[in-house]
Order: sequence, then structure tokens, then C-alpha cells
Amino acid sequence: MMLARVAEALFWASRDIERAETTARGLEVGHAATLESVFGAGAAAHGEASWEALVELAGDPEEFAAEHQEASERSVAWHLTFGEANPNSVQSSVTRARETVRSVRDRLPSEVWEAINTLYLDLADWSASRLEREGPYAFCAQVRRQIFLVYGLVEHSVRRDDAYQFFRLGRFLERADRTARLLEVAHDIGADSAPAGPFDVQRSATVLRAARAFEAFISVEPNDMSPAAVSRFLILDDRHPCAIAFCVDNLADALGDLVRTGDIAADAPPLVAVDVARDLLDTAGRLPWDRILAELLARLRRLAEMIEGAIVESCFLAEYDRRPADAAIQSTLQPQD
Amino acid sequence: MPDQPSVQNDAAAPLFADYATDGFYDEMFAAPGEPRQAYAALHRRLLRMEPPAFASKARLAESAYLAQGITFAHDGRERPFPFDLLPRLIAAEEWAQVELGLAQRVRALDRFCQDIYGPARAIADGVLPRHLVVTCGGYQRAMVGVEPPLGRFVHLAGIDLVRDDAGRWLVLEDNVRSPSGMSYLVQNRTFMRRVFPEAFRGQIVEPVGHGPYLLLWALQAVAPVGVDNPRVVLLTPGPANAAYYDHAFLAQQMGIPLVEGRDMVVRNRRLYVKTTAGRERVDVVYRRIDDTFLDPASLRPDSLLGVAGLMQVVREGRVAICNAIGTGVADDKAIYAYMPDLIRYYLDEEPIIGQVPTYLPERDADRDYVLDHLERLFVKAVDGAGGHGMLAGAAASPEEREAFARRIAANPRAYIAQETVKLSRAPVLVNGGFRPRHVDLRPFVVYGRAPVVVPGGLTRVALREGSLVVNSSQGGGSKDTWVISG
Repeated sequence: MMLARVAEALFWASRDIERAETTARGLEVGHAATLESVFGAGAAAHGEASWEALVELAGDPEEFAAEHQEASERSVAWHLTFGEANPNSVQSSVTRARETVRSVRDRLPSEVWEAINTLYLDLADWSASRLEREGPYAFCAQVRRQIFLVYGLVEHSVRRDDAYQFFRLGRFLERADRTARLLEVAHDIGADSAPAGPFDVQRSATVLRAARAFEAFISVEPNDMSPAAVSRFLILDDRHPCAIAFCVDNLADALGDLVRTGDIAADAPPLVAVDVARDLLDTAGRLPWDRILAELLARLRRLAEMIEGAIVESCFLAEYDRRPADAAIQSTLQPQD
Repeated sequence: MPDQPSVQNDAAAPLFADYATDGFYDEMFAAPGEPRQAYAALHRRLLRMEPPAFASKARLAESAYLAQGITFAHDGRERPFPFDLLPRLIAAEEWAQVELGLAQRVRALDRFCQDIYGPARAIADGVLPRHLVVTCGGYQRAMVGVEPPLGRFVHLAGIDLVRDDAGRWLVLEDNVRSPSGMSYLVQNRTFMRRVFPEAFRGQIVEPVGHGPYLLLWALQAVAPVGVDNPRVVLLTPGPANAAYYDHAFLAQQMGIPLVEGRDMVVRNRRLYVKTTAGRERVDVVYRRIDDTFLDPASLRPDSLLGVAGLMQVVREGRVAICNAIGTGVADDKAIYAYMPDLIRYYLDEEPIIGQVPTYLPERDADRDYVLDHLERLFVKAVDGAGGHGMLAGAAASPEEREAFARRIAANPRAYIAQETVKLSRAPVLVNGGFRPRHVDLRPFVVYGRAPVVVPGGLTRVALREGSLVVNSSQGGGSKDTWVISG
């Protein structure tokens, strides 16, 4: 049995944790890429271009522009790590995840809660000056290590029950969406310059590292570092944990399990939407890649939205009214002798 | 107070350097430098320990509390629950008597609720006046005539005990609405095992980790008649509540869902929780929200925390609420004054544990005495919980006493006054050395088919020097409490 509110909390907390990891990873890889002239001749100009790309990747260029005048190492690093106005900054995502998990901590092993709480508490050790002094790598490495500790504990201490499946849905939906977004941004940049030479290899390597897939890709496709080969791998490979096909398989598996445990109906809308995504990926592999890629990515991102909507609609909203803000005030007033 | 000689400033015992007992009953020392029998083994071990080693263990415990989020909201902020690493020890023979006294008291409190909402014999027989009972803040008219499963009202009680300067145990206060703190009791022991394992050696310590299971059994025992395999839930007001950690921990330990009011709904005269797959029936609600918030339809219309229609389901006996609605009548501080008489009346036994002499200002003779002796009395608001609305006469300024005197005169029913007890003290680690601080004890009594006491309890510590206020909502701390034999 799973409370709808608890399922919802686990789903969103899991998305926020995954988002924090993606953001930290993007910053780590993007920062490294700006240090050399990866984006072509005229390092300075193209360095800026890649800082902007990082903001693009995080998905909120308008909010960034409202806060900062230019995309520089300092402004972008701050925006992505501790930017209070940025709902997707590491700090915002982790704080939200921790608050959400706190409200359902009884449903997770205490080690899992402890790891998430420690991740949150340790962010307080960082300041703008420390970030500048030690560089983004130290920060990103710490955050990512702590998030993988959370994932490891989830994998090895959570029973494969409904709580686990909602946690998994959040993680893989977020990951699929972020990989698609990464490829969109890479595609936009790639379209500007003719792909050739060592810069092309560097650019592809950067995209792959941002998806934790560089070594994996090399071992499968040692001879082709073209953008097309990279995007094909990151979309269609069903064995790499960051590839979209792998994520969609996990969504289908998690939903299938929820049907078996009676948590959702066998014809639930999220299942239908996931099936559409699978069909789309099956057919895409047989079509001319360069021509369909942009459209494929756009459709995958729309599907991610649809799946999210279907999960929210059919699993969480059952019979709930929105909670009035005053409830928290009444809550603090309950005497606990 | 005459100066007492301090503990020998022995080079081998720097942790207890300058430790004085000052004429108070000290839990650890019978006299300076002379540990009580129960503490002998622990004291020997501490003598061999360097202060920095002990302090580093204390820091380890603190970081464990923070990481686990074992916190209590204080001044609107979430703080780690302060924990002192030196345990408080109670000898098993002594505890056996206390345990009997606690069970006796809780049986009487429960019988009192049954009687008041039933035949009200105690009133008819003149044990206590009707107007006193029906003017209790916790009295719920809606419960008159309702008989909960097994007739049980009090399923979990936290009875606050203190020790006076002669070392006698006294009941300071009964808590039978939603007593908090069992999680701290269990977790204090968990962290103690982790950071100070050597302290356990050489003696037999009663375990406490089964406390939540005792509670679960009691909750299951009061399921409505005919329900096998009852669905039990813990109803919390939510993460904003000060004791949310307690709620989450107990729900997890008992393996029951932690629900909020909005997670439940009344349909077809039954109570349900909303799940991802639809509604499921609920049989027992261990609630941690106030009586009046439980049902906006028949109790408090503006409640956002309860479930509309719940009261009717309770009346029809289709769901058990734990503790039952209306138990606040029994822990009203004015009723406390009558507890020894009520124990004799309901159980035909003499009270095993004594209590603090208490005056009710609404009785004329008592009021005159109280107003004349405010500087030596402890005044409490009858409906105050968690240490709010109190006056410690001896420590208060003349203006504060004057203000309280006016409030008592204006509304005598709202206050009680008690003789000030010289609370016992125990050593607490402060800045690398032990300093005496006042302590009390909150044992937990679980009452399903029969009352069962969790061994020991939560020892609460007044962290400020000289302070008598131990409530966690007032920044108090705690100690692990060991009932030991051998």
C-alpha cells in the first residue's frame, strides 16, 4: 500500500537529486572544457560561448540573464551551484529534495535519509570565496560522490516495493529528459561549425563526459567520434545508464512492477505514454539520423512531459485538494507534551 | 547553602575535577568522590579516561544526531536534540518499585477517563467536584457515553518523575494526551552503543529498543471488534511540527504509514487512506494532533489537520483513536491534585509513588496560601504543555510574581501551585568537564491489554546552570537511562 502523497514525494525528491547530480556534472565537465580551446579558434570568444551553453543546458537562460550581465566562469559557476534565484541550482535542488524526503523519511531506510541529509548539511561548508579558491571541480566532486552514495544505498538497502519504483521513475524520467536536453544543446552548437578535426573529437568527448559515457562509448565505437555517432549512442543504447533507451526501459519496468503490485491500473496513462516512447526509439534507428535528430529530440522531450503529467494525474492527484498554507501554522501549534 | 567540599581534584579524575554536590541529591555521587553502588563500574572506567577522549565521543554523538536529523524545533529553528553522553543509571531493584507505581498510576488515569465519560461514579461519590471536571480544558463533551475498544482511553502515557533532595521519587506531571519522546529514548541508546560501547561492559543493561513494538501491540489490541489484521496509522500534523522526528521514527519502527489528515477521508461511515490504487480502510489511528483538530465537521471547524466526519466513525466504534479523545481531562493539572485519592478510589490501593504537594487557587484556603507564598512556590497554568506558562517563584523577579498574582486572582481555576522540589542533579559534560545539572525522568507506559513500562525512560536535563526547566521545547537536553543489574 502506498499513500499517494508519499509516492508523489518520492518521485519529486528523486528527480531533484538526479537534477543536482546532472547540474554538478555539467558544471564539472563544462568548466574543464573552457580551459582549452575546445570550441574552435579564438578561445576567449568560444569560451564564453560554452559558458552560455552551460546555462542553456541547465534550462533557464532567461532567469540567468535577469540576474547576471555576462556568462563568465564566476557568474555561471555561482548560478549553477548556489544561485538562490535558480530553482535548478545544486543548492535549490538538494534543499528541496531534503525537505521532501524529510516528510516521508519513515518510508526509506534511515541510512538513505542520513545520506541525503548529510549531502544537504555539507553544502553549508561552501561559500562563494571557497568555490572560487578551490574551483568548481572540488565542489562538484563532493556533491556527486555524496549523491552516488545515496544511489548506492537505495540500490542495496531498499526493498523493491512501490516506494523504490516511484523513486526509480523520478530518477530515470529526469535522466532521460536531461540527456535529451544535452544533445539538443550540443546539436545547436554543432550546427554552427563544420564538424572536422580534433576540435570535433574534443566536443564529442565533452558531450559524452557530460553523460558519464566517454569511456563506455570509446569501448563500443573506437573509430567514430562524430556527433551523429555520439547522439545515436546516447539515445539508442539500451545498456548505458544515461542513454535514453536505457532510461525508457527502466520507466517501463518500474511501471510494470507497479501494475503487478496493484499500485496502478494495467492500462494506466503513464504506461501508454512510455510505450509510445519505446516505439519512437525503435523506429528512429532505421531512419536517416541526421535529418530526424532535431525532431526526435523535440518529440522525446515532449514525451517526457507527457509521462510526468500522466504519473501526476493518475497516481498522485487522486482525491486531493491543495493543502492550504495555514496547515503548517496549525501543525506547529499542536502541543507535544 | 553551605559550601560542600568538592570531589577530590585527583589527577587521575580530571573529568570530575571540582564536581560538587551542594546539598542536592546527586544521581551519581552519594558524597563527593563516592559513587553510588549502581555507578561503581562506570565511575571506575571514567577515572581511566582522558577528558579529550570523552569529549571526542561526545562530538561523535552530536554529529550522528545532526546527520539523522534528530531534532526538536526551538525558537522556530530545527536543532539537534542535545544529548549528554554520561548515562543516568537506576538499579534494577529500585526500578522494580517505580515500575509498579507507574503501572498503578496509569491504570487509575485510564479508569478515571472511563468513569468520567461513563457513569461518573467518582463525582457521585464525592471524590472530586463535577465543576472541576467539566471545566478542564481537555474535557470533551462529545465523548460522553462513548466506550472505546476494551474501554481503553490511555494507550501511551508519559509520567514525569523527579527525585527530591532525600532521593524520593515523586510524580511531577502526567501526560496522557500525546506524550512525545519515545524516539529519543530509543535513539539515545542506539548512539550510546555506537560511540561508548565500553561503558556497557561489566553490567547488565535492560534494553529499550522494543518500546515502539510494545506500542504497536497496544494499538493493535484496541482495534474495533471483529477486525483481524488491523490497519494502524500514525496521524501527524506534518513536518512543521516540533516533534515530527518522533512521529516519523515511531511510524517507521512500527512499520505503519505516517499519514496527514489530508491523506484520509470518511466514506460510508468508515475511515480510509488515499493510496495510489484508491482507498484502503483504517482501523486504528495513533494520532499526534490535538483532540479538537481531529474533525473539522464536529469539533473545530477551522482545522486543516483532521478528517471531516471522523468523530461519527469513532462514536460508532468503527475506528479506534489513540490516545482516545478526551484524555486531556486526566492530565489536567488540577486533577493531578486529586490523583492520590483517585488511585485509592478506583484501585483500592495506596499510591506507590508519591507526588508534589499541590494547591488549587480556586479553593479559598489554598488561594490565600498561594498568594502569600509565591516566592517559594512553582505556579503552572493548568492547560500549559511543554513548560510554557510557568512561574518559578524563587527565581522570578518581584514584578513577575506580581503579574502572576494578578492573573491567579483573576482566574484561579487556570492555575495550580506546587511546593518547589529540590530536583536531583546529575553530572553533565560542559566545556570538557562534568558539572551538576538538574534532571527529571520521563518513563513511558504502554497500555493495551495490560500496562507495560519501557525500562528506564528519557532522562531530561536542564542545560542551564541552576535551571529546573527540562522540557525539550525550552532547550533542554537528554541522557540515556540505564536500568542495570549485576
